[in-house]
Amino acid sequence: MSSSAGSTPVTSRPGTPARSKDNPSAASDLPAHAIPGQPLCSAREYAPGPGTYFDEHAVVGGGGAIVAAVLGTVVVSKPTLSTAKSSLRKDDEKKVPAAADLRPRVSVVRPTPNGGATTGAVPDVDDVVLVRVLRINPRMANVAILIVGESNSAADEYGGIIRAQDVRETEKDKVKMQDCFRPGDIVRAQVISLGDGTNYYLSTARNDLGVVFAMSEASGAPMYPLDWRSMRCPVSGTIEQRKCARPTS
Amino acid sequence: MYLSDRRRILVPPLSRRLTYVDEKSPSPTPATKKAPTKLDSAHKIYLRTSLLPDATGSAYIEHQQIKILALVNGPRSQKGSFSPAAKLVIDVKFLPFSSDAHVLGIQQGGGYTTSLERTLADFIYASLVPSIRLGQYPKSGISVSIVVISGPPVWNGLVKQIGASCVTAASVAVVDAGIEVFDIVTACAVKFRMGAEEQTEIDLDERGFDHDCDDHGNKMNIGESAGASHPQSIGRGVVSYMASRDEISGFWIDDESQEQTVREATSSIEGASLIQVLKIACDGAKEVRKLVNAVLSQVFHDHEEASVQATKKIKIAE
Repeated sequence: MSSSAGSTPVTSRPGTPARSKDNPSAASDLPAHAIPGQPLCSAREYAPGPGTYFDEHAVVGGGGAIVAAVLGTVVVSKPTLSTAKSSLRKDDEKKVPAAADLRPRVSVVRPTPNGGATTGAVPDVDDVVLVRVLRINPRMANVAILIVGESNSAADEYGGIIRAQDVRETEKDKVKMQDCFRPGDIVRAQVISLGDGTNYYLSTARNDLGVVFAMSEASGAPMYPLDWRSMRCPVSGTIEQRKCARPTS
Repeated sequence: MYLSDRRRILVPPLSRRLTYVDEKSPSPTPATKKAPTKLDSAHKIYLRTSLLPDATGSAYIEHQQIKILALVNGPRSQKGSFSPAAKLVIDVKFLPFSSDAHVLGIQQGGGYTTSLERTLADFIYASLVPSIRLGQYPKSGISVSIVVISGPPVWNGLVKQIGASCVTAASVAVVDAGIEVFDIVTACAVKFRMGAEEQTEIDLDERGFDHDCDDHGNKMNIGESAGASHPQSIGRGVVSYMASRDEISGFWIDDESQEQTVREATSSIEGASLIQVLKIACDGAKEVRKLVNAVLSQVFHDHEEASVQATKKIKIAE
C-alpha cells in the first residue's frame, strides 16, 4: 500500500525551522523535530543521513521521501567528501541516484538530557572505535569495543580482533604483537569487517590509529608517546614499545 | 509441557467457560446501556515513556483496567553465529492476579512462561518486526519485555484488548530506546457481531461475557438464550497498524462466542464485514497514534527544555 503525506496524523510544528550546521537558508522548509514515520522532505533535494531512511512510496514533492526513523531534532548538513562517500556506501537503497553525494544531508538526532548526542551505537564498517585490549597472542589481539564513532558510548561491549597483519601498513610480516599492544591499553582502531559471530575485525594501519592510552608496566603511571613505536613512563623513565596513534587535538 | 508443575491439569489458554441454558427462564431484556463506540483517546489512555533509567527504553500504558509496562534493552551484542540483522526477542509476563487468568491456570505460577503469554508474545513479535529497522543493527539483539500489571478478564475473551495495548506500549518503548524504526505501530481491539456488517465497534468492554449477566444478578443461565439479539455470537480482534505507512502489521481475530453449536457454523465472518472490521480497527489505531505522537513530542519538548536549562547553568557557571 502506498502512503500519502496528507493522511498522516503526525504532528509537526512548522513555526520553528530545522537547525542547520552550515547552511541556514536550506533548512527553512523542514520541520524542527521529527517523530518516527514522519516524512521530512523530498529525496530529490536531500540525502538521507543517520536517523532517517529513504521511502520510495512516501510522497513529498515526488521521487520518494526521506522519513524520520528516530525521535529527535532535524539537522541539515552540507555534504563533505567523507560523509558523501559514507552515505553512498551505507545506503541500503540502491535506487538513490549516483549524484546523491551533492545533496545536503538530513539527519535526525536524538536529544539527550545531558546535551550530548548518542545514537544506538552498533559498530559498522569504516567506523573509528575506541577499544580496550583484553588478550594478546602472536597472531592477534583480542579487544572489547567501548565507544563507536562520535557517540558517547557503545550500545554494549562488542568483541573485536586486531590481526597482526592489520596493525600497521608497512613491514606487516615483521609485526610482533607484544611490541604493539599490551592488555589494558586503550586503542583507536577502524572497523574493517563485521567479522564472524563473536568478533569484529579491526585495523590500526593508519597514522592516527593505534594506542592512545597506556599504563607503564614499571610504575603504573600513564605514559606519553615519544614516536609512533615507543612510549615513555614519566615516573620511571622506562621506554616501552607500542604502536602509537598520532596525537590529535 | 510444564515441567515445573505436573500436579495441576491446565486448560488450553483460550478456552471457554461452560455455560448452562435454562429454557424456562425468561429471555432477558438486553442491556440498554450503550457502550461508547468511539475511542476518545486523549482522556482515556494514559501513556508515559522513559520511566526506568536502567532500561534503554520504556513505556507505560493505562487504558481502562489495562496497565502495561514495556521495557526495551538493546541493541546488545549477541554471541553465536553471525547474523546480518538484529534479533528481536519478545517476552510477556502477567503479574500474579493481574487478570483472571490465574483461575484458568494459564497465568504465571512458578516462573515459567505460560501458553497465553507465549501466544501474546508471538502476536507482538509479528506486529513489531516489520516496523523495526533490524538491518541497521547487525550481530545484535533487541529484547522487549512486557509486564501486564493489570488487565481485563482473559476468561471472558478480552485478551485482544491486552494484545492491543501491549503492541502500542512495546512500539513506543522501542522508539523511546532510540532504535531506528520505519514507523510506530499502534493497535486497536475491535468487537463485532459475526456476519453483521454494521455492528463493528472498538472493543471497550470491561467485563466481556459477563456484561449482560452481571446486570441481572450474575446468574449463569441468563444471557445465553437472548433470542434475536444474539449477544453470544461475538467476535473479537486486534489489528496492529502503522499509520504513516498505511500498513497493517498484525491481525488476530477470534470467534469469542460463548456457546458454540452446529447452527453457528454458518455465522462466519464474511468478506465485506472483514473489511469493515479492519477499517474500524485502523481508524481506532490512528486515534491511538495521534495520542502517541502528542505524548512523544511532549517528551521531546521536555528534553529540549532540560538541555536549554543545562546550557544556561553552564553559562552562569562560566
